[in-house]
Amino acid sequence: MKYIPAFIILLLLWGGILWIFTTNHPSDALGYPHVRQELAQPDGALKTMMFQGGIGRDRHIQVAGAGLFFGVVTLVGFSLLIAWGCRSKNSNQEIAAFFWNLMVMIGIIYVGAFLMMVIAYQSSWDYPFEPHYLGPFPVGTTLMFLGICGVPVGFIVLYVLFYKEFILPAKSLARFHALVEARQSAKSETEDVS
Amino acid sequence: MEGYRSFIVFGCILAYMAMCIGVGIWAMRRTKSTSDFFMAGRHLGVFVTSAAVFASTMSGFGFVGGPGIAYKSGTSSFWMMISISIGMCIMFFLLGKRLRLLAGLTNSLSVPEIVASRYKSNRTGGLMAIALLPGVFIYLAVQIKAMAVVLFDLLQDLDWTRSVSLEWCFIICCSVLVFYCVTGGMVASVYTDFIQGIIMIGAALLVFYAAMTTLDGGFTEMAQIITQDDPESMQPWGTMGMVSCLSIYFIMAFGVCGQPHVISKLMMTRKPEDSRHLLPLSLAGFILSAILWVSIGITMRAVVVGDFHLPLSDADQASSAFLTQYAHPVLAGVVFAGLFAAIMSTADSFLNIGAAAVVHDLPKLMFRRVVKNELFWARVMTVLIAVGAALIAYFAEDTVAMLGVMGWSAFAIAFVPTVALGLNWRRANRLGAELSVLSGFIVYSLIFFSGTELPFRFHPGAFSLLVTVTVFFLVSLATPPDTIEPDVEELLEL
Repeated sequence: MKYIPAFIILLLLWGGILWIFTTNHPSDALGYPHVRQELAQPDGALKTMMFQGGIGRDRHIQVAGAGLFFGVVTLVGFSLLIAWGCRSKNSNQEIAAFFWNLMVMIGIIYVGAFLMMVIAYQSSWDYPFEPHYLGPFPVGTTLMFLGICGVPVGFIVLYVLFYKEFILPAKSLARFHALVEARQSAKSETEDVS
Repeated sequence: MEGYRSFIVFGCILAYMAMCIGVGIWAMRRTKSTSDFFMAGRHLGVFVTSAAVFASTMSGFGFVGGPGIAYKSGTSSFWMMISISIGMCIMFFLLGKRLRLLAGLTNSLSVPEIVASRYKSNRTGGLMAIALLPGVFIYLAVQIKAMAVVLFDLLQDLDWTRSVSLEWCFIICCSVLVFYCVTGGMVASVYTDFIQGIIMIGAALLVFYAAMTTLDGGFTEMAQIITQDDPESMQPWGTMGMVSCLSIYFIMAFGVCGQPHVISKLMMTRKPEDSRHLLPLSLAGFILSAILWVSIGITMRAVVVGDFHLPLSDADQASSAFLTQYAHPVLAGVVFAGLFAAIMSTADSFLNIGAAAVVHDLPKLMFRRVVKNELFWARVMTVLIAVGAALIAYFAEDTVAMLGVMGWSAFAIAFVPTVALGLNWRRANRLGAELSVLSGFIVYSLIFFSGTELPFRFHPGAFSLLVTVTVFFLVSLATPPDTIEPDVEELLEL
């Protein structure tokens, strides 16, 4: 029973990959050498040095669903891995509900930021040369920096604030020192005997 | 001052190299045992360790390869960088505590030794030592190539050094690196990492300012120039597309906790509870220094497509081209020193890990023997590994960043399931660990050597990592659990 989340995540990841691999692959899905030859392969270059992406809608429309699915499952999987790493048999159960609620909220915001980024990007398909800007970059790109890169800071805040309650409780640390001492004394006893 | 640009830049780099050699000699006096050479005596403070963690993660891969691939493929490049924030979270949540506790309990000097203790199997640990070597060679090649390419570009600016060939640059870089690593070992590495980390952060912030003022409209104007040339290059998926970027994100983020040069630093802290402060400090350092990646990458693509700068004949020249053309000479000197700093610190870690695997782990775990005069042979092995990696770097055709992802993938396949998952899951067993590593490498090699390109350029490393994790999980569940040391078993639950 306790392995079901891991089973489901692995199954969904493989499902996402299968979906991606069976999706029709447009010829320019991965970009192409820059149309200006002097940029794509300047004098002295042995291979392509600059690529272009082309038309976003054309290259992404078929794989958007599969990509979105794989991305969401990946982010959910990462959030679950982080939650899994918080287990300690000596964790503070009195504030467990509060802690786990915060953890779930950050996970949801993380996935939400990804969805917003994808939506912002897809909404730029209608006017690719005049996208909306948020700060110096198009909205989707800014959300990539602030959302996908920024939201995990929330997990770090939890790590620091609840370190002694959930990551390494004082009882666990004390037990660790006891185990080290026990191993050292056992080792010295063995050496004495030999 | 512009007239003396090349001399100022060289002055800064030479001063830095001299400092490295000085630290190497100082550290050699402090390196009295293999524990000092491989683990810096396990008494590092929080700031030194956090600087070592982020400096090792950033490396030449980030300082040279990152801007290079941003120039080549636009924002696709940034998925490698932004993945580190969640990647470090995963690494610290899964390993920050457990790795340090297990190292403290079993007095392990290396990641393969940790694996041997966890699974109570020398064969599993030995397999890890072997699995570590391909990644060491590839990733070290990345560092040497990055260093040689930058040095070569720099030498082209001076009349009297223009005739120095790229081959000689490889030899010079390899020699400095070897001297620094052989003399000082991990003690030299981590103590210079601290200085290097500060240089890297300072350099990145100054570069950010220089990049912002390259064009009057700052980054907004640059983003608009790139968008007018090719809108996709400035949108989140860049030129490589959604699936390719997501697969890179997957391997980079999940793979952090399988990078031995990074996770081995977690074993070196003075106290287990230091990991509480290591995570925020390491990530803050990484993000600040990664500003350089974004700044130079966007600026160079914008000025080239906007016809303000000649096209680059090698994308990896983006950093050096920016610094020699758009940065104040003193800033260029400091950044080049920072760049060499990043490369040296990572390369040093790899040389140490590789030497530890061959001289310490393999004989001890596979043949139950301890090499006589281990410290001497560790130094000899350091030289041999550096030479081998330099040859790979010289003959490899890939860019620094793509080579870097390849090395990253090799480590991730070997260590993510066995270490990151295995240290958190009591049910994991040695058969699962061994089969997962073997299956991952077989799949990765088949894809790589057959030249197969997965649909939508799904990264083969991400695919192989998922194979290893699946095999690890299923085999461990399908076979009986191992008997391990009771104290290790208890420690896994603490």
